[in-house]
Amino acid sequence: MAEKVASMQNAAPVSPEKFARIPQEDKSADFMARPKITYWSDAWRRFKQNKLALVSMAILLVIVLMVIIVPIVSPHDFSKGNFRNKHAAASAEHWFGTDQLGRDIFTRIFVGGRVSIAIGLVGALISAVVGTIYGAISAFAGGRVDNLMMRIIEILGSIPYLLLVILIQVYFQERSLGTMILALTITGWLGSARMVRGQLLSLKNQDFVLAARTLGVSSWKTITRHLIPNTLNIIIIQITFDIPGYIFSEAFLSYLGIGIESPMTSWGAMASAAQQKFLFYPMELFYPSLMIALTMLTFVLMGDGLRDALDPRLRE
Amino acid sequence: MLQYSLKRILMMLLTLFIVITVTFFMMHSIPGDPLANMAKKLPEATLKNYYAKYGLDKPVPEQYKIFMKNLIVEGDLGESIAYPGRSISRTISETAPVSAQWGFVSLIIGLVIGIALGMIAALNRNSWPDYLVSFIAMLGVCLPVFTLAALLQLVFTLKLGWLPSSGWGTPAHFALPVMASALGTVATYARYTRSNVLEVLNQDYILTAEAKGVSRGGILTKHVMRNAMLPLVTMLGPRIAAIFTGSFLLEKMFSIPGLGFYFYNSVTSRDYTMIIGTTVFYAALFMVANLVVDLLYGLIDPRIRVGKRGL
Amino acid sequence: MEKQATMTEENKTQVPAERVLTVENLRVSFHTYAGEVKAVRGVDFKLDAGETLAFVGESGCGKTVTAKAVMRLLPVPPAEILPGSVVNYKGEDVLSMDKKRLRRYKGEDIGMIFQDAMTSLNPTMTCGKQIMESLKIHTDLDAEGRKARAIELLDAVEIPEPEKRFKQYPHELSGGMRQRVMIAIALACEPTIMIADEPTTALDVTIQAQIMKLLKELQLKEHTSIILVTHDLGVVANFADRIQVMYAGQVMETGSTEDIFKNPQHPYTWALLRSIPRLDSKEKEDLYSLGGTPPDLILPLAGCPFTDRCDYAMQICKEAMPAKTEHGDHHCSYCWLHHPDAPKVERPVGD
Repeated sequence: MAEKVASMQNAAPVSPEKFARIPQEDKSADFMARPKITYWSDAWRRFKQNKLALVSMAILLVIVLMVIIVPIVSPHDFSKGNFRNKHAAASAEHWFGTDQLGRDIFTRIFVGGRVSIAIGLVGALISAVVGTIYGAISAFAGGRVDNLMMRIIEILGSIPYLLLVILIQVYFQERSLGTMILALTITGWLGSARMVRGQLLSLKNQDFVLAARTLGVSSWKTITRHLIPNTLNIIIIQITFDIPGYIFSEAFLSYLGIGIESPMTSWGAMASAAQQKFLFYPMELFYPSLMIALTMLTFVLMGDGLRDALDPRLRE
Repeated sequence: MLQYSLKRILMMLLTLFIVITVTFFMMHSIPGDPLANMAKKLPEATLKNYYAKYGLDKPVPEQYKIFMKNLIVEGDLGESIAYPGRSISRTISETAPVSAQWGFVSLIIGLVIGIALGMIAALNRNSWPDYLVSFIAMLGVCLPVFTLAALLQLVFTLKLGWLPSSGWGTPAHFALPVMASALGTVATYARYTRSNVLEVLNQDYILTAEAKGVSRGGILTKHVMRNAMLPLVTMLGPRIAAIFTGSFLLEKMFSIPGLGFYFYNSVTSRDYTMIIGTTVFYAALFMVANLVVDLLYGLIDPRIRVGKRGL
Repeated sequence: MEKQATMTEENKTQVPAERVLTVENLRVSFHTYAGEVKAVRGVDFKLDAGETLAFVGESGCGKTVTAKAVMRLLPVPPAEILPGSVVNYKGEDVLSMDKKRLRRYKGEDIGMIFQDAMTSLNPTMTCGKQIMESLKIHTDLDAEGRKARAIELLDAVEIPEPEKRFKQYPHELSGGMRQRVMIAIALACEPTIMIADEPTTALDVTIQAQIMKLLKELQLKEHTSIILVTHDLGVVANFADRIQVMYAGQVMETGSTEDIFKNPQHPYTWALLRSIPRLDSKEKEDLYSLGGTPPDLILPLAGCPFTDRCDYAMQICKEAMPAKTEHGDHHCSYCWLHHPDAPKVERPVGD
């Protein structure tokens, strides 16, 4: 800024061609110096910057792959054990040792992982779909319908899910993956519904939606073009936080003894079984606990990363 | 405010009524009946007595009428099936205070530590205290409560021998279950306090305070604290619920004769009347806790206190 | 020494005004993930006691950042006041003040009124308490005295029923009322300088006029200097003594209000003036609207930042920043059009 000190009146002479007018069209030439970034590529760039979230995603992928592959290639049957080889320590044959019935823990961990992760994924997806539909209807119907639908949510929300789980298991007389998911999702979608409704209500009144409407764009187009893309981000974030929630609930129920039925197993069920003798064989409790904690951790960290990446309010 | 409270209480009673009714009918629409397991072992005559005793010989709507009448008039939830002669209402009134005792201690300790850690983390954003608090909070979020309880027993009882692993009666018995259940509270509150404090620090009125020449300490105590703490009150309801849910496991693991312990037993022994009774009690408790927390929030937040509250 | 000469000249007609604030070569950068945003790039100005100086420009031109830098209100980091910047309050270096002095400086020497009174008042504290907070820090009044003074202040900013308002929370007041409370807070300790950052932008037009009138009255009564930050030249016309037109973190033109309205020298000032609706325009003409957007402050700027949007842009504008041109007492601008060799253009506005 040194030039500022000098005064224009005694400025050095400048060659006349420098004073040539720049044609009007040329003026915008330097304009788009920074490339325009779309919302999703910007979000992805931000997500990539979050190393923790990236590592979490990688670990998660590994866990999912192992859960799919290990039970297929493992030489051990997860449900049949060798009674003479109970509570064996880790060895070349049984990498994580064996449990109270002499079954290979390594194999069982990944079989159990199938149940835990399946409940997490399916539960979260169902919650998201049901919640989105319910929330959207509520937001668009408005008035009395909206009021009634919100009251229903309030009532459902005050029912302890444990009660529902027991009721459903008693009603269907079985404790399968299906009844577990049903029981957990009955009240699991409430949060998503509330969030989607809130988001849509605020979007509905925003200028760009009003503009689209006054321009005669059909309601359906307004919904698909404007509202869904702007709601998708919060739904995705909700899903990543719902998945570990479901996994935790399943573990908790299995630990209480009202989870998945034997011979099928899950991380919670394995921990529950190991708890009785954990003072003697702490590793048997350690492995399933570690898997639960690791899966939770990676989902939560990834969810944090996604939230920071997708939340438009944080956009600079 | 009064009108709002009344409306909320009525709403709560209606919800409770629906929950009880649905629970009752679902429990009684099971193929077979609650006594089916027992039926195989008992002689015909005894069984008949049993059915009469629990009113199972009557049609379901009739049973419902009796159940509701007993509940409303006498607060009676019936009798345990697994342990005949044991009144469910009395079991609850005897065991719930035990759960409430250590649950309350755990809640208070968790709140104080959690809020303090959250503040420390927010004020030292992106430096080691923040990372340490994040780590503790992550531990609390990710570690299943049964694993934590097992670890605590392993360390404090087996390795160090400082604390009794289980039982009830002395203050030392409080230590492990309180620690195990408080970590969840610490984690939740540390995370929320941190983000709330950071959000409040970004508010325009903090700049106004700074422009007035308020010191950093003054800004924290007079402006940040109150505004960041207020939303935390709304989370008390779910937190209380979580402590109760956690008690199912912890009371079993630490052999504490609280309601959670009995609930766990009723689930494992398929004691249906006990299950209905205790879950109804829990449902009522959650609802009351949420209601109290909401009303409390209305009292302490001036924006809600005076203005009408939209739902 | 030129300054002295002017001073003595003024002496004949009025008491010499005390110089309260001198800012030289103020440069502020924000360090963001994308790079260094040079928000303020060498701003100079001076402020005398009882004078009103207006910063005018589009949003993002650095006027608010300049005001906040003067008050030491910028968050450091990400903000940084670059070395070489000078902010001098009555002979005292503001940028090297210690914590204790700074706390007195804020509130006692300078008060600030923010744009949005709704978000700038603490929602969970009564209006009275928020005014008294300032009194508690800067005066040795006791609780009774503070309350009396707070009510007096509420009365001074023409709030009806001050005793009642004293106990109310911000959300219970109307927008105009809240802004009055903000003014009362800023005024509480009778500061030498008041910075008003878009004080009426969030308000209705009628309320706007009332608030500006109130500010003017208070200024005359207390002999306060005011820095008014605004994007609206219309607000400035009847209010400011001097105007500083800013663009992309730089000063484009400075002068008395009369200079700027009657004898504007910079194409950006012309553009701003042409976009004010006028009732007295003779023929029906479309209101002028300046196209384009201000430059990205992360990118290096070689020449004049206004080049891209300027109707008179020349080759040299792209290459180098123009030097200062004096057009008379305290009236100067930065534009290549004033170079002796530059082509002469006809000014589209002014008289």
